Amino acid sequence: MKAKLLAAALLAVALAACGGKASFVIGGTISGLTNSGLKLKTAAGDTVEVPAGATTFSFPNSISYGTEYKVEFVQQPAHMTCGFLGTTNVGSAGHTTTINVQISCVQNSYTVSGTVEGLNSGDMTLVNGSTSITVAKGSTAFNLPSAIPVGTAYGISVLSKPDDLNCQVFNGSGVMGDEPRNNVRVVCTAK
Amino acid sequence: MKSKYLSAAAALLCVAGLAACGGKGNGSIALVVQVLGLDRGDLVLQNNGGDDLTLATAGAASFKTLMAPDSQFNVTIKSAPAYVTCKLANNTGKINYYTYNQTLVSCTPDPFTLGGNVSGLNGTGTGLVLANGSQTVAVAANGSWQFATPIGNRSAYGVTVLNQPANQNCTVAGGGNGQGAGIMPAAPVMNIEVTCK
Repeated sequence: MKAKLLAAALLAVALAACGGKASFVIGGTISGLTNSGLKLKTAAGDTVEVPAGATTFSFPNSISYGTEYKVEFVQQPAHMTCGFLGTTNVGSAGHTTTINVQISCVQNSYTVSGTVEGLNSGDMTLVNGSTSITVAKGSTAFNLPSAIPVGTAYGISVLSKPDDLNCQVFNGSGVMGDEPRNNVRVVCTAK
Repeated sequence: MKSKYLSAAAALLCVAGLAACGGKGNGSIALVVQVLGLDRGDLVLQNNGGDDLTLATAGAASFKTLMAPDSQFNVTIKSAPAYVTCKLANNTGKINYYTYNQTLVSCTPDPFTLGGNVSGLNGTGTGLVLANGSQTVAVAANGSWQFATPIGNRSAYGVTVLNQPANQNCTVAGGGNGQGAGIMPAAPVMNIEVTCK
């Protein structure tokens, strides 16, 4: 009987050791957050606003061992989209030593496109910095191959064109905003 | 007795066979290099001062001579293409399963300044901003200007007016095609003419 009691007591002590801590902070790490506005919440209703430049975050209230948690986005930062790495936003407290919700953010980016007129005698090459795009003879539209992040400048110019045409770019430069740009016009006319 | 001689002979053959394995150029591991950014030929690499490997494009490439496990490798650049600078990393060590493909060669075309001249601006600080793709430069007054970051040779460029000065309109001329665009030569381009009216 005595031995049984002792064993039970030992077991209890051992189990307590397993638990480690009684309460867990819901928090984690963030990469790429350069704008403000990120707001997170837990399923339990706790919220936290994460400032621009932050690399870590934590919710004000802790949860106890074994409690399920789920972190969700209330609001994305301005001009950015953040996501959770895998399923690090859901779990149960104590499953790992500390709760580490991992978030990564990237600046939103949008395409630049436009119309082409009068390109009837050959191909044309447009450039945006070092990025070039070939516009085939007879084309009436073009798209820049890669999207431009919000806040980044772009400027489209004609690198090469058929010898018998003059080609001019209208609305060809700007700083990317929060929606695709499709107002570029390239007009070619006979010399 | 005869069989003893025979087995001795067999043993000798065995030794000779094994020695062949260790011999120069008769190994089992190919030394692989990862080449980044190479846009032209010829880049000539060497291992231990020989076994020339000639490359013209980026990607993974192997030296012809196989190496014995745990033998020393030392990759060096014998020659690089004109106006291209290549750098080595993880290029020396003993070859094994972990090191055989760790050598890295990063090449970048040498960069040159892109700029020009602005004329016709009324006053200073009127807001003229020029762009080459995502790179911008604010030009405060008439005279010469240049982008802060030079452009790699053989890269395309195209200068545009990102922001017109107050109450004026500027146009871009000059450069490779006469309209402010071109392919970067292996020399500075300082003839982009921005004329404001």
